[in-house]
Amino acid sequence: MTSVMIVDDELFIVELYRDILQLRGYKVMITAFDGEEGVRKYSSAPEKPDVIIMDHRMPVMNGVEATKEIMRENPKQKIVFVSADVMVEAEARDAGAAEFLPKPFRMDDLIEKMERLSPP
Amino acid sequence: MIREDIEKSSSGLSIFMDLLGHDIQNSNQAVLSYLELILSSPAAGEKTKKYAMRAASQIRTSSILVDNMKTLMSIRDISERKLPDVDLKQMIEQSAAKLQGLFLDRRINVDSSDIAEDTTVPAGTYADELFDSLLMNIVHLSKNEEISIKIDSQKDVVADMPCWRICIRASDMNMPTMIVKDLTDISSSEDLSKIVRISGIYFAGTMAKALGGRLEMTVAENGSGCTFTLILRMSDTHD
Repeated sequence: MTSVMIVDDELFIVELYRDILQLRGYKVMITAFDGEEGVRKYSSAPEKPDVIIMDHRMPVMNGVEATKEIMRENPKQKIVFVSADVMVEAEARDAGAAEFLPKPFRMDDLIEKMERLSPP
Repeated sequence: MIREDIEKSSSGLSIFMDLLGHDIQNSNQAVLSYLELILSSPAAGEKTKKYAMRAASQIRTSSILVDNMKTLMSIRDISERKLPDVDLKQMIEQSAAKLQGLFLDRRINVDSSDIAEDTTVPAGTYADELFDSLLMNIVHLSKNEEISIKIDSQKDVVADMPCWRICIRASDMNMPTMIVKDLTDISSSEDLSKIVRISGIYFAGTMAKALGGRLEMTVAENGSGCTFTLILRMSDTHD
């Protein structure tokens, strides 16, 4: 079962991702509500998630910065970057995000990207 | 001093609109996804699915309106910028393909075969938003489930400027009388602020103007169809 970490500052969005992913057979193992909390929880997790869903606009530390920190720790980490701001796509990919999804997206688009990044 | 104040308040408004847009897109995301969950549920009946489909179309429309709003906030300096050339035939075909995905409960036929292969304009990604908005609004204005749209392009010269005249003809629309009246009123006026009920048309007209062109429209009195003509500056590379 593919394990997932969700980093988003909106509780209802975290719950939404959790609902969708659990219905489709994914295991949500970590949630964080800002980039800094995301990096901290990621670093201290004994087992790393297969895929991270990362929002951009968050307090304390944004998604691009959090992605850079996580990729520095583990360059093989798979990250799906999600944002309503399409202008941030290039920055997110430069930081190391493997996929980018503009909000609002279709559920199937998220699942397709998750499948692409899930371990075989 | 006054100029500084205006710039300050414009910048404040821009930041506020950006934040607002972000929050609305987050809400749209949640509503759209839960509607998709209803649509994929075997327990949902046909009627429930039909209503969910209609609601999902409206959420996608709301997302496009938010994008339009953000774009309108940023177009003040378009005319001073050199925008990349865009292949309109390819771009309109992509907009048309997106359109069917936006309105799952409609059957939309877009014929773009008469758009000339060399229809290029210096509009960058703004062209994308302009045509997305215009096509989406045509579907919105129609009460019929099936809509036919035919698009062609012709070379023209307007005020000594080489232009493309892109004609979007929609038929089988069955538009409400109120909409026909609004479109008739605004088609005879250059004042975009008269477009009070149809923000997407206002957006398209404003964008066309910012790109150095204009939007014209005619509407059938019985509401069966309408024609939008976009006059856009031709790319410099064009002979």
